[in-house]
Amino acid sequence: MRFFKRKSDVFNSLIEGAEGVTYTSFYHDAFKRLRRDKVAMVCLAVVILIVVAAIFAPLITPYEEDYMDIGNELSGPSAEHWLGTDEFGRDVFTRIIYGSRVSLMVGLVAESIAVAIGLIVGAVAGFYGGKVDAVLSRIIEIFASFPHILFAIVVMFVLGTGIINVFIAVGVVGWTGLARVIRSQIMQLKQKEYVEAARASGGRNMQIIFRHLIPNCLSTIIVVATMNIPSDIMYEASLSFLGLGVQPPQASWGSMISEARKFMRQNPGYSVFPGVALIITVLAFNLLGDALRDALDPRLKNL
Amino acid sequence: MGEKLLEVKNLSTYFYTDEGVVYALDDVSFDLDRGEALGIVGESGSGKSVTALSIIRLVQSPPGKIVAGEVLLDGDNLLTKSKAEMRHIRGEKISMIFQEPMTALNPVFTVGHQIMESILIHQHKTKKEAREQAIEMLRLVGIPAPEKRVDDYPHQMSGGMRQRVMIAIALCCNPQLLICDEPTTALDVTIQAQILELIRDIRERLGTSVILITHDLGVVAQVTDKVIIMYAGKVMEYGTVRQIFTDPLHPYTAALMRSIPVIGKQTERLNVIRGMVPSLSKRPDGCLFHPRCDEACELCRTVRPDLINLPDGRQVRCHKYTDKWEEKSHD
Amino acid sequence: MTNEIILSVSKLRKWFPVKSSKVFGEKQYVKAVNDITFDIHKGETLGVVGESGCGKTTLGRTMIRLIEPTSGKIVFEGKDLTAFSEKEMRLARKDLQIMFQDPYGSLNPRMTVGDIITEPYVFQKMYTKKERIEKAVELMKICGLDPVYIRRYPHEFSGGQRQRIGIARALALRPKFLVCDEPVSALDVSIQSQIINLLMDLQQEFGLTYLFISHNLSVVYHMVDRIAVMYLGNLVELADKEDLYQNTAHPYTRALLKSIPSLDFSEEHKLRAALKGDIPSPINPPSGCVFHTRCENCTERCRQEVPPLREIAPRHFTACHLYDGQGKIVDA
Repeated sequence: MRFFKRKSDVFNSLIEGAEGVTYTSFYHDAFKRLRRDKVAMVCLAVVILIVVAAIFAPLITPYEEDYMDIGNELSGPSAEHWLGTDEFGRDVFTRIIYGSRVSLMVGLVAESIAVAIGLIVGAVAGFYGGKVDAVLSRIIEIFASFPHILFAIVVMFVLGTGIINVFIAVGVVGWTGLARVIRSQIMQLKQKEYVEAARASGGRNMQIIFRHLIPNCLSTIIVVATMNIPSDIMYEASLSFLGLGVQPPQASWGSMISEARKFMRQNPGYSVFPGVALIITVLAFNLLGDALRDALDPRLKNL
Repeated sequence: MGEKLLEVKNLSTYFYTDEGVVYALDDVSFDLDRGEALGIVGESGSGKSVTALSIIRLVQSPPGKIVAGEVLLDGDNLLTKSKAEMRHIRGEKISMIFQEPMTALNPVFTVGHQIMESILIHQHKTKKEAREQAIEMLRLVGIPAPEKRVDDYPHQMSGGMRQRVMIAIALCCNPQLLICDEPTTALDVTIQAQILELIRDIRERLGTSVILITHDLGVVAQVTDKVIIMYAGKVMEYGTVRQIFTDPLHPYTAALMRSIPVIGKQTERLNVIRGMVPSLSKRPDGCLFHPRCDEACELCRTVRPDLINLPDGRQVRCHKYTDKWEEKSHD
Repeated sequence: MTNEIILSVSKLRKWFPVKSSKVFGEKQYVKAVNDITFDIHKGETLGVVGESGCGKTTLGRTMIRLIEPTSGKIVFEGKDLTAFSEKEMRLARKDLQIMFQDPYGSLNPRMTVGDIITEPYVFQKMYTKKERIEKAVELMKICGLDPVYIRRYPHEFSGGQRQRIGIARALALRPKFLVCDEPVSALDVSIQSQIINLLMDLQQEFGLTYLFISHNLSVVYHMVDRIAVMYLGNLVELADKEDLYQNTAHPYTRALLKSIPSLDFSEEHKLRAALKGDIPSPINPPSGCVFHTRCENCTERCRQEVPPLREIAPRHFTACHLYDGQGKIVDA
């Protein structure tokens, strides 16, 4: 489908005068709108900063993840330890940077799982309708009716602790919202005349789904996924806080806060700083999701 | 007749969008006598609906803004009125009906309730009197068994019925001016004929002045006395229905008339106006119609023409009817 | 136009089931297309007119099996389309195409014009990629679009240009029969004539047969050879264009013609509402002749007996009791 864009040289040789013609896709336009939104750009910068920090953690951090500064436990912020140390004398700043890896991985991997399930279930239910839809809709409702965190805890109990299982638990919990949105959107899209036109020239169901329906859902998927990432991060933090998620000595914001509880008096910064990191990340993703929705929503385009 | 009810002078409404200023309505002037019916005809983007919204000051702002001009109703400038005063004028002196009656009616209230509401706001009446008047209004607009239909909800009525209800609401305070914005576009032809007959009938019986906005020249020919032809936010031609339909002066009007298929007149090909309506934010130089005009010359491409008053009361915005054109053609 | 029949439908019926409020109630249907029978000749344009809800759009889509008919036959070039398997139908679609009313909803906003026009080739597995581009360029030129815009997206075009894109897509497979579903209704008057002329030119060039669906009788008069008038899912009159306008038989057709606001502004041509009341619901259409509730010639018989379609003059068919005994009944 993207073939016409990539093979621009083919065009220019075939069509006289084609090279000078500009064309703007929907996403060009959306990005232009997004760039005008200052809050969105700040949030995007924050998100990029966190991603860069997570990737290059060993280069940024002054210490190893589990280096213990014996004799300097639970110290406050200082020149050596910018955000202080924990009960084993480990550098809190270092642990927060490494913890961002876990949070971002959960956001990415768990949300991918959720999108995959939600998209397939939603698309099949919306496209085929009737009895298929009735069955799938009930399944969606059953999954959605469990309290999310309890459901995740149950999954963790069944699967056992560990980061991979956190991804699975959070992913399996978070797909219902997307499935519902995709289902209703596909139901609307399949009535469109361009879908009828595709059918009239012999398009098969799968071709119609992949060429027409999913590309038109893409902006919804991007928005819903971006807005779900913060809650995924929060679920991971909660699971780790409860001791079900990431296991020590690996750092995670949730487990850090959990550990720091015991040392609130000795070193309040130990619990506050991971919390602040969590809040900034969640807020950045949330506001970015809002801005993306405004930029991608075609209904607002002509206003 | 003959007494001026509405005078619109140099009215300009612009929309300030991200893509630039949209000159939706640019320097529009016209008069309307008491009891007269005026048609405003134009294609999409010609500014015909914005004209109506500007008169009753319902242009959405932002992005829209009335930047210049006067709207005089009985000599009173509506553009200087406060919002509260405007609310009274709308409904009491000027009423408007829209293309899509379903969106203008509230689905959770009965039509009777909605007519009564408008009566109770503007007049000192008891609920019982208002209800009686509502039934009377429904009878006036030709709804059968109004005593029963008064308690119907909008979804229980057909499109034509709903448009009749809208007209009833618009008329319940006996306004001097009724503005109809594409009142029949969403309706079928047989229903359209009913509604047009109703509008004509109301004008005759109540002496209400009517402004009828439409893209359909046939509708205008059937209902109004005078016609304004609009194009790209400007008045292109003004005259009586007879004048404009028998002898269109502006090349745009003439081309428009020729491009409409007529039953009983078999032609091989329809006349075509080439190209498309210009963007209102990036308008061409000179006459706005010149890129599509067959008679355009150098003058049309560079100088924006004025609206010229002709001796027989008509107005036309075209260089053809000025001295400059004479000089040109003698060269 | 020849006398060779390209497509004929007989007793074509499409009833849409409606959810009834009662669980054990009688099943209710919207009778969108109710036992319609007619032929279309090769190279002609058959106009279908009627008001909203008369079933003209459903008829157009059912005829090319975009909507599966409830019953009846569709014979295209001697073959019964209703008997085709899904695979056979997919191949047959090369010959049967459709263009739509809405210049906005009929083009996928995420695809370039080139992708849209060549999509039928993808479905039918025709041509190489390079050939497809060449075809797209050729089609754009035929439809009056500048091929340099091949990589643009639909939102970068005006309504008239979008309709041209829709026509180019419909022509990509070189169909023999094209259903035009209100192709100019959403366009401005000055653009409308451009598209009508284009459709007429294409018909000459490619020998196309059109089913032209419209509610605008003036446009239909200009475009077509024969006209079918529909009311509440039923075919009420079918005749050659001039014959229909001059010797109008059915009271509904007469009312429809009288309702057109003409450009004639003289007092004697002033529009008078020719029909009272509204179109009845297609769920529970009136008994007997469906038009009897609004007909000025209505008799007791009209309320009870369904009038059959009969040929009252050569090539002039109507379904009305007024013409009882004047011609033979078609397809009893």
